[in-house]
Amino acid sequence: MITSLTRRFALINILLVVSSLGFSQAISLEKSIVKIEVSTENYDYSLPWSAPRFSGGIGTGFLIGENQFLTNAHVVSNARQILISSHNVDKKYTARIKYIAHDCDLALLEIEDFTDFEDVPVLTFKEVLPTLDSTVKVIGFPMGGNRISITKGIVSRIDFTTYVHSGVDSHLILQVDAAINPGNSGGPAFQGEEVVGVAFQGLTSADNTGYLIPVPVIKRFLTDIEDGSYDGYVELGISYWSLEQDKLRDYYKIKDSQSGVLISQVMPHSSADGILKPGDFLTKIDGITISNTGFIQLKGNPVPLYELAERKFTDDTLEFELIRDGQLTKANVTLDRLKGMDLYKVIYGEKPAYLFFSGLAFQPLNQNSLAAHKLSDPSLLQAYNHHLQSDNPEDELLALTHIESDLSTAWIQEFKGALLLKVNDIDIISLTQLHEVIQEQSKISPHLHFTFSGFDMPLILDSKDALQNHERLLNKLKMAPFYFNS
Amino acid sequence: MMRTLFTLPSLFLASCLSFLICITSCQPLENTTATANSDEPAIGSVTITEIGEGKDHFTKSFIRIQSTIKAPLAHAPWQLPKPQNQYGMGVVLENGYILTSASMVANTSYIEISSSDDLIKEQAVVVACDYDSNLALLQSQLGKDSQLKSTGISLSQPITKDDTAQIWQLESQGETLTTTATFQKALMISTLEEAGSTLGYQFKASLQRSSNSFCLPVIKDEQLLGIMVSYRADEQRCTSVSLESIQRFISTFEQKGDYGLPLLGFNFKNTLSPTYRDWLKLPNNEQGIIVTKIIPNSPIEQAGIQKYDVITHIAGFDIDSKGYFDHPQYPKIFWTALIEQAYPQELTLKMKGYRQGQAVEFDVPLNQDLKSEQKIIRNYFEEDPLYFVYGGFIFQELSLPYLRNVYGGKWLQNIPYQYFTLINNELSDLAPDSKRIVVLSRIIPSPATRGYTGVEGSIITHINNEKISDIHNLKAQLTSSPLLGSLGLHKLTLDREHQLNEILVDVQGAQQVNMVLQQRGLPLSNF
Repeated sequence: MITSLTRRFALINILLVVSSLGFSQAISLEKSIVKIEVSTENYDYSLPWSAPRFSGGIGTGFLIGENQFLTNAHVVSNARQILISSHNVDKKYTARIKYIAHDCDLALLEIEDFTDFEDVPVLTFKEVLPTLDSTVKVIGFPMGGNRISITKGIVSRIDFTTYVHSGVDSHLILQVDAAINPGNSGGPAFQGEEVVGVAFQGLTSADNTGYLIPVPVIKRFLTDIEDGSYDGYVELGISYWSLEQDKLRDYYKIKDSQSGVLISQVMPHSSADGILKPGDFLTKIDGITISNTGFIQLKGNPVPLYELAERKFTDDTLEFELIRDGQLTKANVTLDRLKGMDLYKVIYGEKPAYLFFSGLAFQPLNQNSLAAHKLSDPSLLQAYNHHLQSDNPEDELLALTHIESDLSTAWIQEFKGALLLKVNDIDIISLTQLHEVIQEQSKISPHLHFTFSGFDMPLILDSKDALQNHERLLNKLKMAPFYFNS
Repeated sequence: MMRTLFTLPSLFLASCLSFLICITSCQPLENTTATANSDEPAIGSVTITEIGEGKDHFTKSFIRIQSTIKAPLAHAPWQLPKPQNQYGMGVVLENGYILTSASMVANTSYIEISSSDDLIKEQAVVVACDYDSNLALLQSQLGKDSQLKSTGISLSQPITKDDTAQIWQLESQGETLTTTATFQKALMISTLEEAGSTLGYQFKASLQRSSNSFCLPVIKDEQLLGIMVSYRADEQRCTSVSLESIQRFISTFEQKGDYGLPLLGFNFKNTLSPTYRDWLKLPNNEQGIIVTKIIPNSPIEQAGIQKYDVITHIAGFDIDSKGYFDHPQYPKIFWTALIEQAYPQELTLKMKGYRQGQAVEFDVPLNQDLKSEQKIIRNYFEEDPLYFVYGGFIFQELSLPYLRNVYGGKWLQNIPYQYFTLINNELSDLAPDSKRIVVLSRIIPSPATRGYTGVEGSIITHINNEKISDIHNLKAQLTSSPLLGSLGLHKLTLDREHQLNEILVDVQGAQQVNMVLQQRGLPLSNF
């Protein structure tokens, strides 16, 4: 489920540590739990044509199948090299990412040569969610030492929260008071010999508040990848109100015997768009009655109705029973990802796209470029925040992120950080299209007019001068004029 | 444009005492910096004078002002703001009025004037308050019975570079402090009105802090040269409203009873960029400013000026590529000074320029009509932001102070997208007849508001299908009979994208909530 963008938690991440030595004997399943050492290359969105920065860290993973090691996506994001080591084998194994799910912070790794692990037991998942107050043990390789570590606690809460890795997704979590520290990421939490969750983040502002990714989320990930690719979470795209006042129920012609919620918003271009409408009163979802507060009974537990969408996959359907204009009717929603949300998710492992022309550099607006350049132009931020609801959310938003210091750019510095709307009155919808338009217009038109949002006058370049300056600057800076994502 | 006179609750102060103050003709008690030439005070020197015999009329013309600021909280106008006192000075003019800055008297509920020795205190009323030039005229409530009268200070002559003047301050005991200041330059300074400016002076001086404001008289040879409005200690820079602005303000008020400056209604840009100059086909030796945006129905539009016209001459003066002209008295003043030079004696401002290389001329009408035209989202002074509470729903009109208060310093990027587009579009499709935009600013949880979440900030377009043009008619609609008679509900139509855009309010329930809120001390509206 997509969450609001404003909640932030600390990301339990990984720690730079030297290689480990001897091991404990305390736990029987420790062979199945591995230390993951990652060397990363992180692209610099503030200077997209420069070389990446090298860094790294440590996390935990565990064996869940034949050459299948489960860990967090944030442990292995941006990895150039991944090494897995297990305490009882004096060796490190090169691993690679088989599947990665940034929207639920999970990744599946495989190693080059699985021989040494053939006899290692595969860990199993507990089918039922643990109950509150039940004990869990978290095992992994957190900071504070080199060897395997165990911490113990209870399940404090089962709830929905933001998964910090992408920043915009929220799913079910188990909150535990077992100590979860940097390095524990990706490691298993046990009840008995079964895994009940993957340790992945914590709340730094509170005490003893660690979070585990629970089995339903893990199972969904593993089911999703069965077809050979990870498709991601699907979104219903609705918000709803509880009709807490009797007179409102009368107004919407809802009988006392009917419980449910009133749709207050349908996100444009979402799964429900065009099928459900604001003002529809939802009474049942997949045959299950919706309470007046939006809850349904799922396997004996009351959960918010959107949890059903949480467990579904692309092209699955949800059947609704609803009251529209006083009439009881049904509607089927075919579920899909809310593609426009990609604009707001943190991007991992991708070289930043850019277009350089005559001293001006343009980049697609996304969470990474926004943060790297600390873009603050109000017109740009408003357009960015509103883009999902615009008519063409698939269009790219392009920002002029960089102006090379040069005599040719002496008079145009004020446009830095602005949102590009048009070139020579042609609406710009993508970086590749911008490239084509500039190529074409610089040849057929004596001037290039770049119209930016919030600026009364366009940035004007003389076409001939611009082409010359472009060549000169490319030679001087020795850089590629563009990089496009596929 | 006329603004209403201030009326303040009346207070009477008895007693008057005579007093005498010594001025610079006396020997100074101490001098903070020794100078070789005792005739000319050293730059930055501070002179302290004793109370004693002196030029009575001159020092009697300095008035202490204490004003109590009670700016209503734009985002919560039902809350009583904490009063704050501001201390500064004014001068008695030859016409009997007391001149001070508008900053001293804006949003004040009480103004007290006293003699320099603080022995006589009277209440003052604002006679004229010009936010465009940051000047105000006060008068004692006692009128001709005021003890604070004097023959007043006359106005000086314009000053030149490196010339000196004295900035006067009053200490709490009644001692006067004069600091010698060196005139550096004249320039356009910003004033209280949104994007307002007037001609000002910049001086270099090292001032002591003797009160919490720097509203101080600038005197040259016992004549008024300026009213200081701000001070930068790290740069020892004093800024004052200029003599020219003061002269204009006083004479306009005396002759026409009016004040304020016109808003011409356009945005402009410099002509520094060679590429712009080429593209606009501006002849080589011409400079000037480019018109980049025109507000509809503005004086600039009425004159026939169009976007991308380059204005090269205003009122006979050449305008350089950054927008400056050579003022007869001062070098390089920003062109907006020409508006206040012309208004209100002139009816138009003559402009010359080029349109795509062709010479053009315009007569721009000078009037304050654009300001009085109802801007949807506006700045305001001296008015309480209006609000209306109904059943726990709180309604207010959008205004610049509201947006700043609710959304903070970075309000432009934090406001809802709809507000943003409204600000950008002068004409709103939302409600062309609308004078104001009314929003549901907050919800006090109550039985009548239960179930409604995430609707704060929504714009109210209709109530019971009747268009809402401002908060007055919203109140009228809500207090009239409901649409859905049998259900007893009011329907509020909101302007929300892709969302259910109606709120239903149970009238009976709302009225009960209103009663409770009133009992708890919340006034349901302030109009």
